[in-house]
Amino acid sequence: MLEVILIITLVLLLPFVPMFIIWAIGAWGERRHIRRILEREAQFRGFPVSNLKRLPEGAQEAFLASGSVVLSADAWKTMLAGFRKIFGGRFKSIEPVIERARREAILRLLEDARSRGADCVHNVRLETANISNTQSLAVEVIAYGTAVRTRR
Amino acid sequence: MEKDLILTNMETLPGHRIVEHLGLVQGNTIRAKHIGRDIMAGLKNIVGGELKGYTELLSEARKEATERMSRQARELGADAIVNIRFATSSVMQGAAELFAYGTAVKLEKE
Repeated sequence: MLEVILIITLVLLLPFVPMFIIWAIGAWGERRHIRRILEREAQFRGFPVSNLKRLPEGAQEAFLASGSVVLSADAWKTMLAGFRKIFGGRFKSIEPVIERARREAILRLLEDARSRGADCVHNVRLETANISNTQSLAVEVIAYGTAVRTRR
Repeated sequence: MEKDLILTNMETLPGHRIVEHLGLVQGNTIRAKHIGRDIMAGLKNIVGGELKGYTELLSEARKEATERMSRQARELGADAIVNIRFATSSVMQGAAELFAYGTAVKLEKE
């Protein structure tokens, strides 16, 4: 009797196994990405970034720098968002995905600026485009700004 | 050899004075935006994470739009493009238009 119940529960749970794997991989990937973002943001501590339109004192050279990223949410998050659409409220599963995409794009902008000899970035703009299809959710974020080299 | 245009999204340039506005210049390109067409992106879509192929595709597209804008500015005889903006618009189902626009200007050294 006990075995029968056990087997029935196993069979009922079987369809959820792939979902669980997807959740696990997605959560692991997200944690790893956040760690990488924090590490790289630490490298840019003290590197002035602003969305002000004014040029800093002693500016010598200015050029356009940009960074972009396409990030997709895993199928588990997309499914949760689908339920959320029915009941309304805050999309807690999707919010961190978009935030990670923005921070990644800004970091790439800063890396681009620094590798080309700039020491600050001003007038930063963020542009987000939705490139999802019916089964999944993905966003493209571009960050661009004026990289400035100042006299030192 | 074409001279290098200075591109910026500010209204002024360090070390230069803007002597003439040559008007708005723009460049665009339209790309299919639906993701998950190829196998790798389809798999990546399930577990989430960055879709590197699409990052490259879109930044290439944006470069193309910037290049077209620059060509237009060079034809006008500009030295720089200031106040550049990038935007994405969806012109039809499944396609995205990436465009860049700015003001072409003539410069004078200060």
